Amino acid sequence: MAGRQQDVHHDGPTTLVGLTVGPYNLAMWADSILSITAELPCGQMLGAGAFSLAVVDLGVVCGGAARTVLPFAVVFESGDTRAAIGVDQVRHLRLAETPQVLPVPSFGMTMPAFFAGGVQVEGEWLLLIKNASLIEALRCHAV
Amino acid sequence: MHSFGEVLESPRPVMTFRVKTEWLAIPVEKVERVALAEKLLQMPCVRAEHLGLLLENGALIPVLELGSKATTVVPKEGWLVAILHVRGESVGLRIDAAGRILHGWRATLRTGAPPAWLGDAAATTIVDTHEFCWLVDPDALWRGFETP
Repeated sequence: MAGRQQDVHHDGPTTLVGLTVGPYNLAMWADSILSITAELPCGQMLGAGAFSLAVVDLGVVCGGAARTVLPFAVVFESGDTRAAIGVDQVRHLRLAETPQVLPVPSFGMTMPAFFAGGVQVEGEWLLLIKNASLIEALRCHAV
Repeated sequence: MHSFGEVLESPRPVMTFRVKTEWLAIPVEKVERVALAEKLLQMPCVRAEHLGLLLENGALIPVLELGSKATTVVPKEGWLVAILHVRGESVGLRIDAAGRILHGWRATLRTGAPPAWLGDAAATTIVDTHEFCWLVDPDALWRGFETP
């Protein structure tokens, strides 16, 4: 399998993984992320336990251009369901305490269910992804 | 019933703002405050007019443009944002300048239609000292932008 895969430590509710997609700063709780793979050719499946997952480029979902290699592919879960997304950058954000999550106003948004809220980390705002909603949307996108 | 050109005895006060080349007059009870946005959190999956989210008083507020947006990059000097009550929600309108509060104003006739980016939110103009202003009802802006 191409790409360099590494497991992500499950650190609890004070650890986020920042995901950069084009101009957007997103985040997921680290304990929902199963693995991160660098430099994965587009179209290649990723193994996740007994399953193989198609990787959906979140950059394309967010309006960016298609590419041949994903800088990073992230396998994440919600309940018993897993999915894989391609992103531009990842970073581990270990916080001193559980951050305050501010509600994201849905006014003017086309997919408000994607986001659980906004969190401020080291002076920067990140959009916290609602994994279950993203997985649901990716199912439609992958078909 | 009031007619155009008449000075109303107790019209509701309005605050004026310039957007692009047009002056707008918005009832003060629909204006929360004016803020300087030095940074906006950019959002994917938004309408074309959505510029991003502004953190104001511990809450995230959507900031929108009237008409199509030219850029989402906030300039170094920041953007002026009028935070309005739009159908019960706090929504930021990017403005080019804040004007003043008018307590007594006259409805007036003006030839020509309001700019397309105002939609049906402005049906009347009022006259300030030097400028015509479109009297705008914020509840009529960005119709259909709430999420069901």
